[in-house]
Parts: sequence; C-alpha cells; structure tokens
Amino acid sequence: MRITKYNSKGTIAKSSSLKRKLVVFAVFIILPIATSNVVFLIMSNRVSNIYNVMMNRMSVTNEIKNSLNESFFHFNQYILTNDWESKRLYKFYYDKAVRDVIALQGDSDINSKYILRDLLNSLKSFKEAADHTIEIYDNHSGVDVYYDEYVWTKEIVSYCNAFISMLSDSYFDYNVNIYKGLKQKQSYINKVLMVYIIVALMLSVIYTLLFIGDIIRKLKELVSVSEKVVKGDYTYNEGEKTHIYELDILSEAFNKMITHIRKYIESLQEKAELERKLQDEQMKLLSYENALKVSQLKILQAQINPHFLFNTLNCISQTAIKENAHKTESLIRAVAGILRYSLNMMDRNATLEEEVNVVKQYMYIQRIRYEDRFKFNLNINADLQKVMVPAMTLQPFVENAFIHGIEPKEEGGVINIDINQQGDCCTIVIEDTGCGMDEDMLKKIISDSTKQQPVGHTTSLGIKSVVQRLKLMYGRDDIFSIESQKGVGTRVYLKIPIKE
Amino acid sequence: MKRFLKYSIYYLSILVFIGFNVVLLDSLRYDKPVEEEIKPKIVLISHVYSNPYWKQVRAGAEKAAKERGVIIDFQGPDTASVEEGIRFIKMAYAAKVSGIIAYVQDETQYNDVINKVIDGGIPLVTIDSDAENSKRLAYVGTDNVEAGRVGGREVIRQIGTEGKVAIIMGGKTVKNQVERVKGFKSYIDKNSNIVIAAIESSDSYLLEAELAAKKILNQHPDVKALFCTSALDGLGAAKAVKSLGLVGKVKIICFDDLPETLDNIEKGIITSTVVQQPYLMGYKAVHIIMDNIEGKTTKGSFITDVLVVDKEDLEDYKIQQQRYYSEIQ
Repeated sequence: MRITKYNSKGTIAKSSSLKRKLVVFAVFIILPIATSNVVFLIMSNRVSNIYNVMMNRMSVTNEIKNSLNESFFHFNQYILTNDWESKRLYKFYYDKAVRDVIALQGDSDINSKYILRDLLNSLKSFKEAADHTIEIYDNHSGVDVYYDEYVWTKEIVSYCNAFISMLSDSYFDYNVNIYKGLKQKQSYINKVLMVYIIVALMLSVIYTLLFIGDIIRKLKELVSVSEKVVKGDYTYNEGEKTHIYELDILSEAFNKMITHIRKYIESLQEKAELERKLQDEQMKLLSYENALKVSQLKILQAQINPHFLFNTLNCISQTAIKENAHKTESLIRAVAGILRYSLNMMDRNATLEEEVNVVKQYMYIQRIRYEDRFKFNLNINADLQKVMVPAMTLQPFVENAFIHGIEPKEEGGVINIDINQQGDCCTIVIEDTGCGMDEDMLKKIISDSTKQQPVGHTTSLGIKSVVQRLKLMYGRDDIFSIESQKGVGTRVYLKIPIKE
Repeated sequence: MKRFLKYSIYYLSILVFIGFNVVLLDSLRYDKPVEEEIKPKIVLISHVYSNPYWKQVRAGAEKAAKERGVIIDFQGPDTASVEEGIRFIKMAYAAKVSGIIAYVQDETQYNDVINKVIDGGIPLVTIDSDAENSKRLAYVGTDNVEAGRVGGREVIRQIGTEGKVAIIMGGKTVKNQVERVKGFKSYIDKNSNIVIAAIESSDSYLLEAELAAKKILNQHPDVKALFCTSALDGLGAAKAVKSLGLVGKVKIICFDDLPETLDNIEKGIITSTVVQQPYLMGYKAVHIIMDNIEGKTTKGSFITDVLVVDKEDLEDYKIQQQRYYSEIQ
C-alpha cells in the first residue's frame, strides 16, 4: 500500500497520499459489510432452495397418494360395475403413480430411496394382485373365487399408503436435518461475521488513530516552527517525515519558504553593513579634514594675533589719515576688510554677493600694487544673494589668477569674472589672459595643496580645499572644472546650484 | 518501531480479511452427501421393537449385513401383537424385499403368510421362535428344552441334589416357557432327588411374578431355589426374596440378561441366569438368507447355545454385551 513517488524536485518522497489513505480506510469498512451481505444472500438463497425442493417433493408425494387411491377406486369401480372406462382409468392412474415414484427416485436421499424402492415394488405388487383379480373376475367367476385376491389387493393398497406416509416422514426428517444444519451454520457464520466486523472496526480505529496522530504531530511541528518564525528565528528545520504525502509537501514548502526568507534577510543585512562602513569612512575623512582645517587655523592664529593685527592696521590707517596719505589709508582698510571677512566667515557660508565684495576689495589692493598691468572686468547677471557658497570661495581663484597668470607676465593681462544664472544653476567663470600653467602646475593646484603652500599664498586655503568644500556642501562632483594653456591663460568654471 | 507498527497494521488487516473470507467461504461450502449405492434389503421383524434382547439380535444382523453387502430394516410392533407381526411380513412381501427374518408370535396364524412369502420367492427365516410346520427356510434360535436342561444343571450346581425347588413360568401355554419347564423337569428327574414344590405362572408380568414368588415362599418356606423361565419372572422373584428378607437363603436361577437382572446378580439377589445369544441369532439368520439368495440352499434348525452367567463371570459378560451394542451405533 505504500508508494514511492517522485515529487517535482525529483527527490524520493516515501509516503502515500491522503486520498489513498482515505480509500484504504473506506475499504476497511466496506469490505466486511459487503462480504457479510454476500454471505447472507447466499444463505437465504439456500434456505429458500431447500424449502422449494421440500415443497416440491411433498406435493409429488401427495400426488402419488392421490393417484394410487384413484387407481384403486377405479379398480374397485370396475369390479363393481364392469365399466371399461374404469379399467382404463385404473391403469392410467397406476402408471402416473409409478412415473412420479421413478421421478422422485432421481433426487432423494438414501433413506427415501429405500422407501421409494419399497413403494415402487409395492405398487407393482398392487398391479399384479389387481390384474390377477380382474383376470379372475373377467372369467365370470363368482365373488368367492376372486375375493381373496381382492382383499390382498386392498391390503397392498394400505401398505402402499403406509410407505407413502413413511416417505413423507422421511422427506420431512431429511429436510428438517438439512434445515437444522443450515441454521447451525448460519449462527456460526453470524458469529464469524460479528467477530470479523469487530476486528475490522478495531483495525480501522487503530489505523485512524495512527493517521490522525501523524497529522497532529506534523501540525504541531508546523505551529512551533511558525511561532519561531514569528519570534524571528529562521533556523531551517528538517522535520519528521509523515506517511502522508500532502503533509510532507506542505512542510517541505514551508521550510523552503523560511530558508528563502532567511537568505533574503541576510543579504539585506550585508548591504546595510556595507553602507554603514562606507558612511563611517566618509565621516572619518570629514572629521580628519575638519581637524586639519582647525589645525591650519590654529597655525594661522598662532602666526598672527588677529586683534593685534586689526589694532595695528587701525593704528596705521589713522596714522595715514593724519599724514594725509589717503591712498595708504584705503589700502589698509581693504586689507583689514578681507582679513576680517576671512576670519569672521570661517565657520559659516556666505552669499555670493559677500564673496564678490571681498573680491572687489582684493582687486583694489592688487590695483595699487600692479597699477595698470591688468584689467579687471566683473560681469554679473544673476541674483547674487540667492547663491550660497562657503566663505572665501572666489578669492583663492582670483589670487591664483594673479599668482600664476599676471605676476609672471611682464606686459600684464585681463581678468574676467562672469556670473550667470542658468536655470537652477549659477555658473561662475574666472579667466585670465596670463601666462597659463603647465600640467604639473595644474595637478599641483587640483591636488591637495596644503602641504606645499604656493608662493604668495595668504588667506586662501588652496583651490583644492575650496573645491572639496563646495562638493561636500552641494553633494555634487561636477561643480568645478579648470582649463589652462601655456602662454594663453587659465579658465576656471564653477557651477553652483541655487538653493531656494 | 512506528513504521513497523504501521506495516504490521497493513499486513494484519490483509491477513484478517483473507482469513475471515476463507472461513466464510469454507462455511458456505455445501457438502453434498456421498451417493450411497442402494443395497438389497432384509427385513428383520422382532417380537417387540424396543426390547433390548432384540437390539442384540439386530446388532448381530447388522454385522452380518455389513459382511454380505446388504442392509437390515429392523421392524416390530410396539407391543406384542400377532396381527402387527403378520402385517409386517405381508408388507415386506408386497415390497418384494430380498429376505425376511421373522419372529413367530403364533405358529398356527403365521403358517399361511409364511407359505405365501416362500411361494412368492422371497426367502424367510424364523428367529427365536419357530413355525416348524410352515415352509420357512430355516429356524435360528435357542433350543428351549435344552435351555431348560441347562437351567436344571445350574440349580443342581447351586443347591445340590436334594431339597425342594419351585418354578415360576411366563405363561402356561407359551411354547418356549413350556419347553423350558419340560427340559428342566426331565434334567432334575434324571440327575437328582430334587422335588418340585410348586409351578406358578406370571404371564410375563412383573407384579404377578412377585406375587407368585411370595405365594410360593409363604406356602413352602423350605424351598431352596426358584427357577424362573422368563426375564421378568426372575425380577419379580428377586423383589419377593428381598422383601421377605430371604436373600442368600433362597437361590434364584432365571433367564435372560435384562440390566436389572444383571444388577441383581451383582447384588447377590439373583444367583445366576441362563442367557441366550441373540447377537449370534441375528448374525446367523442373515447369513442363512444370503446363502439361500446366492444359491447355497441352507435349511433346517440352527440352534444357538445358552450360557450361564453368575456373579463371577458377570464383568466379562457385560463387556462383551457392550461390544455388541456398540456395533449398532
């Protein structure tokens, strides 16, 4: 009854299906009932057969008795009336009786057969005696001549009747015996059937208990596994094999599902871990840079005490006013402005307008220094107050243009600053027509230039630092680009998103 | 373990199913009775159907019938009746049986029917009581005169050759009773000085026998022994002797072996009994019939011996009787 099935994955699943189990169960119940019905049918059929045979024999026996009596009656009639019809009927009934006896001889038990033989012989004796009587009678003899033979005939008839009643008794006894036997057999069969049905019921109860036990054990297992899953325990559980195909499939599928969920969660966790690590690294970098800046600032602060410097510059400025050196006085004010700005704005962002003002002050100083060696064009086409940048963003580029462009060139050059709003971006182009830079120089500028401080560098923290701050602030990489050609000039592009 | 249980459930249920079906089908099997071939029949007509004596006759007849391949139809009136006896013979004759063994209740009335049967070509043998003047093929039975002599010899053995005895007989006109008394008388007359004090008849009734015995013992207190010529006479005499307190003093020699008779011998009330051999009679009668049917003409009287049974050989006798009875079953 067990089956070996290959399920979809091709592994051997050794259990029978629920349907098969139920069929087996039904068979347990149905077979005994069917068997008992069949047996009862056969038994009752047999009883009715016996009854039919008995009735048939009884009626034939009765028929023989009637025929004999008819025959004797007509024999008597003939003797009394000499009627030939009676003689014919006497023979006719005699023949009928003999025929019936012979017919009965075919299917009788041995006892009845002996009686039938006696009866047949007695009938023949009757015929002989009767014929003898008739013979004497036909010879017109007197009644005293055939009387003895007539009495003998009569006696034989009574013997025949005695045999017939013996035959009836014999048949009756025989059938009663058969009936008793059948009855005994029937009660025996009843007992066997009873035991059979009880045993079958017991077996099916045991079968059902095992079957239900199987289901309940599996269900409990599934429940405990799902409780674990609810608590977040995704350990794979092989689970006991039941003998029910469907349950095994269910449990297998459930376990596979759990495994898949666990794998998915694991991959998500890995991803999150990676991201966290990345963030940690970035944070490290930033704090490193921050520390660096702080240390640079400390160095600057250590080099020049700003208050001392401002006080000194104020003192110089007042001295210049007293001496009527107005040019000197405005120069010093410009330097002090830039210095204040750069110190004040160190920790916060500035608007582009403030930046442009610083650049203007810086230009004023440079103008005094270089006089007519350069031309400066400022072209603003944007709302500068809306654009936020870190403080001291523009100044280093302009300074760079002086250091690398104008200063080395004898005949001087032009510095152009174009600020244009383009959509949600503000493009700042800073170009000079100086001597330009070679590639080594460019690399130096773009790379971290804090270690090798260029000549003439004062307040700026280097182009690289500015670019990095811009990138961090806006989270974009396409903010800065630079192009330069030896002998032609340098052009710096800044593309700053406008924040609302 | 569980797997084993599961499998055993499957196999057990299959076994149970097959087992029960085999049992059921087996019980449904209809055992047809073996077809016995029909054999020639010999009718044995007894004195009284239910008499144990005749059961022994029947046992012997059945034994012989088995040996000769015939069956015995044992018949007999419920109470002794001449008409019934004749009717049974006539019926057997009308049924053209192979042979008839008949007890003759009354010789004169039986002669005609016996002759008719023999004329009709059916062999007939008389048993236990004879119809000498009929055409019967043969007679098998006890010579009652001889049986009376044996009784006389036993009485002499028990009481010696002197003294008085009395006789109780089962009917003064019954042939075998008369013959037994005749044999008895002639034997003691010849061989002793014993005087027969009285002869009483019980007509074969128990009460009458007891009364007769009491009468004799009262009238003749010096009687040494009672000789009883029929089975019930012996029992009646035993009752009388017991009630008069004469057990041991008056010897009883009787006929036949009714169970009560044997009991009384065991108790010592009846001294001894003369028994016939009914088993042998039945056995012989069938053989004589069969011999005649098969062409070996066998005619005449076939006498079976009588035996004397007393307390000493009672056990052996009982065992042998038991064997005869068991053959009928």
